[in-house]
Amino acid sequence: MFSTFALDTQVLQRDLCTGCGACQGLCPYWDSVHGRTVCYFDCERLDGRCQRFCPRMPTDLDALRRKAFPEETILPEIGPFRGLYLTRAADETIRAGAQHGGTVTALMELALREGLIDAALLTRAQGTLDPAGALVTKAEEVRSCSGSSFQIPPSLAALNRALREDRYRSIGVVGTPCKTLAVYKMRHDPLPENDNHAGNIGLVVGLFCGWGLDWDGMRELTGRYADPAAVSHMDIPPSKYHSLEITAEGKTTSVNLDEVIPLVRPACRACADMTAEFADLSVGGARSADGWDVDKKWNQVVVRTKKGQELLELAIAKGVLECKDVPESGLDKLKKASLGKKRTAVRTLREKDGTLGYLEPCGQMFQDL
Amino acid sequence: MERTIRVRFLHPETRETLMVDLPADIRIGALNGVLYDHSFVYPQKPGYGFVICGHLCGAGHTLEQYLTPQAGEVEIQVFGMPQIMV
Ligand SMILES: Cc1cc2nc3c(=O)[nH]c(=O)nc-3n(C[C@H](O)[C@H](O)[C@H](O)COP(=O)(O)OP(=O)(O)OC[C@H]3O[C@@H](n4cnc5c(N)ncnc54)[C@H](O)[C@@H]3O)c2cc1C
Repeated sequence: MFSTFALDTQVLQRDLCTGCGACQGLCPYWDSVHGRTVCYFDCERLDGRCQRFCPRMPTDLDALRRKAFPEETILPEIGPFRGLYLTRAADETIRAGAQHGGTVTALMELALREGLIDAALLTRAQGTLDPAGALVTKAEEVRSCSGSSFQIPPSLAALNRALREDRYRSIGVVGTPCKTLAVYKMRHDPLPENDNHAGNIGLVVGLFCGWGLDWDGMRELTGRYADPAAVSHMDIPPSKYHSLEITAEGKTTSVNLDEVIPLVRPACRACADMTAEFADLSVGGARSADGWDVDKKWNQVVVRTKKGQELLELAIAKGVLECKDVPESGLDKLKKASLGKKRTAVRTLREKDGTLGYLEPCGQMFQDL
Repeated sequence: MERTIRVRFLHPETRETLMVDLPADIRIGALNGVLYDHSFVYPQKPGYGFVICGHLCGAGHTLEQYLTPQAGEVEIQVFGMPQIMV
């Protein structure tokens, strides 16, 4: 099947495109406009990288994770698992500009400073809007990307461009689960005759993700409550608050989640991965008995690989990260939340055509949900 | 064994349909002959265009290049304009 045709009919037309950018930066045909993936021309390539790397083309996730992780580390609910930590950046100035505890910023700075990676593929937003992929090569540049944008940018287009240059030997990638899955597809299922040098990806840090939001809708919604250019932070507190917090000029406004839910990208409802299961480390907001006011300045970190373990231990040993005890129920709560997202994905996909869609090749992973 | 595809053609004007079983490796350009044999459309030079899922197919391509390996059927819209002016 032609690659552009396959991607359009199996992903875009089925509302499954996450906008991650894995299909972009490889050829002149694919592009992104305000978070929407567009194809300018049909192409005659039958097995292109665009369709191979797309996280929403049919994928045997079980086979992929067996290739990438030792089987004995894999937990059915949250994927590869070597430990759960509660952490935050020790440096207060990192925390001040970060989404939660600044763990991701601190880890990427450290990895660059220590030469564990020679470039980092991050996402930089204007305040929290209009995000774009950003390739940084100096530790001092990492903070300019701190904070989360809930619009989904095609950051992997910038990764593909950087890989094509073949200049960097170890690129660190930070991304939501759709992006990190695409990165693992690049690494473990490359096209040797059309190499994109994915072997030069040296570290993957995943972000937990409930969903991303429609690009234009977010701008419009934000504009109703604040000057979009002045927004410095947005966050979604735990579900009991049922709100989106928008912070602009030091003032935080709570928006009822009912206004936000219609803006969820349809593709995110078909995503079965909350904890970024394909990664060395996965990072999200902390959940503990201390409550949201404390938790929002901490992260929970799932260690998935030996490399991730080493980086986290180095960060703790060097005093870059602080840790606190994980509540006893922490792992169970995470598993429960993760299963909830998998169930929603299965329901959404089955409602489309009675099948598991792109998850069909690994249907046994989802049969009991 | 030869792979066969059940094709449902949609008429460019009347929206009538024609159902035919065709070999998966048939050239798109050869679909014109099939339509003429069934008197489904008037023969015209240089033939008709064919649209699958919103994509105008290349006359030299084969039908299976527009199908997943599992597909057993497809809907093809016959495109009325014999030539696209450029
Ligand atoms: C769309 C989205 C939904 C999320 N949903 C949840 C959730 O439901 N539950 C939860 O616990 N956590 C969620 N997170 C993760 C959370 O917002 C934080 O990113 C995470 O806790 C790390 O916090 P931090 O303080 O260490 O991040 P920081 O140190 O501030 O670093 C944040 C990093 O995220 C990257 N980034 C920012 N926006 C994006 C984006 N749109 N796409 C890819 N990378 C980006 C930046 O490059 C930066 O390096 C979500 C993140 C995103 C982007």
